Amino acid sequence: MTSSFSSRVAKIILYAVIVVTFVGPFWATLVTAFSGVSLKPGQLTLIPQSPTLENFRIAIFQMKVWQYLLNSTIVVIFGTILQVSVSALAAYALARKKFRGAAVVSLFILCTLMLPEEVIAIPLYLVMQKEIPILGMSIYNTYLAMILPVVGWAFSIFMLTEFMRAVPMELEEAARIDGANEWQVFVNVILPLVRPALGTVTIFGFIMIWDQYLLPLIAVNDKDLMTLPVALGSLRVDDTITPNILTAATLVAMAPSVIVYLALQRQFNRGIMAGAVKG
Amino acid sequence: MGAVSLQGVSKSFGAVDVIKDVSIDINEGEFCVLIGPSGSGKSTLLRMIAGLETATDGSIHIGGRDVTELPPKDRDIAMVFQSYALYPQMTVRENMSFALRLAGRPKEEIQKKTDEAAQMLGLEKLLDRLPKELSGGQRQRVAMGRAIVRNPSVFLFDEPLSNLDAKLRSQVRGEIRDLHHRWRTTSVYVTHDQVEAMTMGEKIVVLRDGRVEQAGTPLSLYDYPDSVFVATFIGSPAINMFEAKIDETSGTLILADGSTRIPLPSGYAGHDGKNVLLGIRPEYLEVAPTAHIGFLNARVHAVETTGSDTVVICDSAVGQILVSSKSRSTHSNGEQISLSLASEKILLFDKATERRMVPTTQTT
Ligand SMILES: Nc1ncnc2c1ncn2[C@@H]1O[C@H](COP(=O)(O)OP(=O)(O)OP(=O)(O)O)[C@@H](O)[C@H]1O
Ligand SMILES: [Mg+2]
Repeated sequence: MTSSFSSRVAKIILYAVIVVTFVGPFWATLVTAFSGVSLKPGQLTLIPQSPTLENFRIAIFQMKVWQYLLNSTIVVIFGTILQVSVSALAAYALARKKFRGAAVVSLFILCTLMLPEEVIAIPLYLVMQKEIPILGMSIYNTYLAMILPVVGWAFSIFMLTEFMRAVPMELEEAARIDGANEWQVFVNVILPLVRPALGTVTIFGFIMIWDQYLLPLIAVNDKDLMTLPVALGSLRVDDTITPNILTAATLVAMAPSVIVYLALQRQFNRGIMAGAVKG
Repeated sequence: MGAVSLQGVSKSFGAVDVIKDVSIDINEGEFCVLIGPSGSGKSTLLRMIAGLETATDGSIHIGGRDVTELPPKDRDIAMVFQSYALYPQMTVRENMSFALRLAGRPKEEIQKKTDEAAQMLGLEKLLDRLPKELSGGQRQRVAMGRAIVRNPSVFLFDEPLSNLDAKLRSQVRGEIRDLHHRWRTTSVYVTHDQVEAMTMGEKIVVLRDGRVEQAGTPLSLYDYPDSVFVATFIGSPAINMFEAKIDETSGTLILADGSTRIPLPSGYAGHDGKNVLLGIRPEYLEVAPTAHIGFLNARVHAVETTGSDTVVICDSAVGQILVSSKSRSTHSNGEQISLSLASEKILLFDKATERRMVPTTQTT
């Protein structure tokens, strides 16, 4: 009796510590953003009081968070579309085609996962500065500089490759006999059957691009082109901005990831599970 | 429409020769069955006709056209896979009409042809279902429907019935045969089930290790097998095979026990002392009415009956012997009996080459 009582107390304490550790910071952010209490830089409040939306108004309009939100949105939409399309096509080739050097191509793609982005930051910066011959301009300081480097992502290529390998060969053969050409096999047979995986890589890709910090930091220097994470970083060091406004801006930055996750959640869970079962 | 002709066709996967110099001629409208043991290359050969595998050597003609280098879609063929290979995300209707939609046919035509095929196969009520909502037999029908809708010049089947239970199998077998009688579309049908081969085939091609062992009508293969392999492969219950030696002076065949003699059928002169294999089908043996008047004494090991057919399995000095008949057996296990045989039905094979020795009296 006593042992079960003390072990229960221990359990509750343990859970409490875990909950406070994980939920605490998020709670503080939430409360501070909606609170009218004035705070010093670096301070947050945990007690909800004098609720207001004023912080959001200032963040979005005065601090031009709407502009950064727009930039982030442009980058993430085009980036995700391109990333998923390129990954699907690359995965189809890797999963279904025998070509010379397929193993080497796989290896190169894998290598990109091994290098931390800090390592390639400087070479990437130099490459972006280069003028493109015919156009007579570089992509530096344009949306393209933030989009193109994230288009090829090894994670989504490998994930889709595995799923496409699992599609029975006979389905593809049946389609060929039914008169389908390469493209029609891809669109009508392969893609619909890897839909759960497409959902998963879309969410992961979206979040990955949305959270990019280093790349947009080095790719543009025009303030009007900054994405949200970069802008938040520069707001943080600005002493005139109160923690209330900063946390409000942070919440705005988090919202799209949450919304996309909830919207695609069904696909997402199926994709993760199917992957687990197929090993 | 299409006659199918293979000339000197070979296929290697790397260093492994899977199909070796195969030549087959299938007439227009003919129902040809490819049969052989597992791994003999049946599926590979069928896939080569379909264009899913390219021939390493030789040429393939369909309807007089050289299709050796053409992709599947340009060969005017339809195929039914063993696994059915239905598109899981498409309804029955979409599955069946996929080829027509790809070909960009007008909507009304697609609708009409799909409905016709569905009606013919009894699928009208299932058109809006997904493959996973169908039973095995229904899926098999959809796979056939998908092939029929296109009205191709050749149908290819790769063991289409092997996933069905026995009753459904014989039913669908009949349906495929009826469809073939109605449309007379050239068909190539792969199976390893010799009952399917015998009942469906107008021509049977027996494959062994990637070569054609023998080709012919079902009954010619049954009555005049070229080799021990074909003799034992075709026919159920299996043919009886005994080792024997020709003794021309007494005009008999001496079985391996050294004492049992069977009169030598005519037409085998000039083979004195030759070691042979004697083949006799179970239905040409009989349990003699009284013991000791037949050619061989034996003991009943077991009796198997399906109701219409009875097989008596006997142990004898020369090994196990199967005797089949339409009449019911009155014999009990362990009973001593004597066997008699119809000696004109004996098949003799050269023991060294395992090829059949053709008697000089036989003209076929
Ligand atoms: N893609 C391939 N690569 C290498 N070897 C292959 C390939 N496909 C088939 N083979 C080999 O070719 C031989 C014939 O195979 P095939 O599938 O044609 O046999 P089958 O007669 O259809 O047998 P089953 O009755 O078991 O279906 C086998 O030994 C098989 O291992
Ligand atoms: Mg096979």
